[in-house]
Amino acid sequence: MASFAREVAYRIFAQELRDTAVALERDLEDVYAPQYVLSPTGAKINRVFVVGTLTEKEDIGTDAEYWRARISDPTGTFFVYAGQYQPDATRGLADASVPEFLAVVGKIGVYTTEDERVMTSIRPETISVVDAETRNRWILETARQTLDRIKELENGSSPHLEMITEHYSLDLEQYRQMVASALESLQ
Amino acid sequence: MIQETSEQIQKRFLELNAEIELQEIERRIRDLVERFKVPEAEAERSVVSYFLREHNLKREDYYGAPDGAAPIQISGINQAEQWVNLRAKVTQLWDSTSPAISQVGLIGDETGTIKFVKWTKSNLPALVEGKSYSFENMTTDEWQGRFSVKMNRTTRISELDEEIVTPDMEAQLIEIDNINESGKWINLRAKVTQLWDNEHESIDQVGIIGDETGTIKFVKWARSELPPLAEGKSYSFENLVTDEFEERFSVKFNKSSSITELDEEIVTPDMEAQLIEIDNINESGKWVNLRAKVTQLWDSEHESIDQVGVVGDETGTIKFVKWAKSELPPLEEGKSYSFENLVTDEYEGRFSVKFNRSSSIEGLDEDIEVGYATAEFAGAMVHIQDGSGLIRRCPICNRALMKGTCMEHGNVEGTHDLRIKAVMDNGHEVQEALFNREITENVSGIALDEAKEMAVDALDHSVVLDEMKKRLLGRYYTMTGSVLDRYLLVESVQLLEAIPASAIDAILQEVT
Repeated sequence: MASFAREVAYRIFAQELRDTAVALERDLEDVYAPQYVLSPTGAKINRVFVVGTLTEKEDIGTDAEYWRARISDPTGTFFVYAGQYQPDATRGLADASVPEFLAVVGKIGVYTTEDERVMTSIRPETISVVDAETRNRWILETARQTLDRIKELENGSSPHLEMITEHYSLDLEQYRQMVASALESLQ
Repeated sequence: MIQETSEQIQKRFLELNAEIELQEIERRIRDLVERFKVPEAEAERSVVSYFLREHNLKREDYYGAPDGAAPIQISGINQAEQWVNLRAKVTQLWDSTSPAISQVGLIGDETGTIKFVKWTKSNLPALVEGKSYSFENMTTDEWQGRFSVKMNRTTRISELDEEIVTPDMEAQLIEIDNINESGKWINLRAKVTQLWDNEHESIDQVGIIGDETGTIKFVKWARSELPPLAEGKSYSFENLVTDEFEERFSVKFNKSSSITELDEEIVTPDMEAQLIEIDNINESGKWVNLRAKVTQLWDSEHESIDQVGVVGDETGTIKFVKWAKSELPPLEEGKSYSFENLVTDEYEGRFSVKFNRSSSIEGLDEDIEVGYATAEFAGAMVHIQDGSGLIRRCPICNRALMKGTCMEHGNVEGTHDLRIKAVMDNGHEVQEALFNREITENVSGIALDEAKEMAVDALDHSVVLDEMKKRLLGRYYTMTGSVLDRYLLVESVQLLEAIPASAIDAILQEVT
């Protein structure tokens, strides 16, 4: 029986998303099994919810609208692409201007470069313009959830500890710094 | 720092014959960094992009030419409608579901596997399972975030002499209790303790198998073409694949699986049913007894299901499914019963109980008072489902109309209503929430009359939903309501606003 439980949207800062380089193997029997990535602090992610500032947007489509947007939080930047198959996201991006705060819900896309580096992108489902309060709350929430993941790794209670040690250097200090700098930007 | 950056930008643009005021550059960078909290490098990039567009210049003019490369391995496929070449092995062939498709299955290379579809119109040679090929000129496709490749008339296929190696999958004999990872190939010695009615034609058999250490759900696909399993018999199973959903594991049979009946009987752990309260059901595959009232009977959507609905006791409500083949007496809405030997199940994180042949039903004289659980949820609104916004309801039965038609009463003149079916998410859990008209009006600031006017002006109902999405998505709300199956029926909702400075300080202290 196929399952269609909705995946939770993880809160993750741009810097950690950029560093994410482990794509989990999909169930070979089920081509519709969700793709997960494992982030350096141990989040097993299929979907994300991120809030940041739109710093660039460009319609790079030839026939139909196809938007490329850069979105930045206090720790870094990620790309988002939206076209005719993401009508809600496309409408949201078309309505937004630089710079404005955007809330993005989307799935993590994974690709491997020729030198076998795993790269991630966000395939947006919805994009909406939000206010500074929402952005601040997102930073606070993302700081909280990231710190909780760091602590789980440190005290050995993370379910993904083994894979994290195998694939990432367990230098969690840089992510503590990241959380601190994101919070300090709110002060 | 910002000043230096600004001067550099001004200088570079001057080289491109574009004159920009230094203060203008500085003001824009400062706004991004200070108000929008964007890292300085990103602010610089954003401002450069802005002025490039203003002066009709290309990014390459400013930065130099970009480089691009096309992916040629399966894990590199991340976009639909791309033309790709692959060297891959056919790892599985499935039954084609349509005359338009000549072959369908999986191909794999060192980096992963991907579904392929070979169109009948393509007139391509038949692929053989286990053989490796070079595929040229396929197109990529995507459905619900998963990619596939399509072989069409322009595709070229040639068999390779070498064998492409696909990810390792050697199976090992293990005990059920030790299954703790998905995607593993395993062998088991186990007894079939339950066979369920399958709910989908792609599934041949589904149920529970058990060994000395525990029990686990299994799924046997129709296309794996394996002999039927009998309840109560013990088998040796080879080449099953483990799967995981919400931390519950299952095993799946596939074409390379094998089944051998054992002479000995495998002993499975005891599973005597216990009388429990509905609120305490938190595990699937458990045998339970309940004392509960039938609060709702739904229309059965499948002939294998005799009755389906909701039962409730003092602690809460739960969905039930009564199979036709379990041959049990019919249940009446509003009556209370004692139920024995039901099996719990879980789907999408919600539990249900299923009747089977060993279940028993006995009517009670007393009337059980059903307690509806109330719940509170705080999180971001991440999705608004179809069927939200300005809708029309059937004047007779109040059902929402689909394309102007009531499922029960056909074509009717609908009455307008507002509702939102929202998906809330706090980063740990997802909660579907139903907003009635009053709550929808409050939270969206759009009253029913206003919504009707909007629809009339635009000659389109969907403008109301679009506007609601614009106003609500991505915002944080806290809400309370009563729980019905997977929905929170929202009774009050509030937008979460400014965060207190003390909350920031508290986490900062923990970090450092």
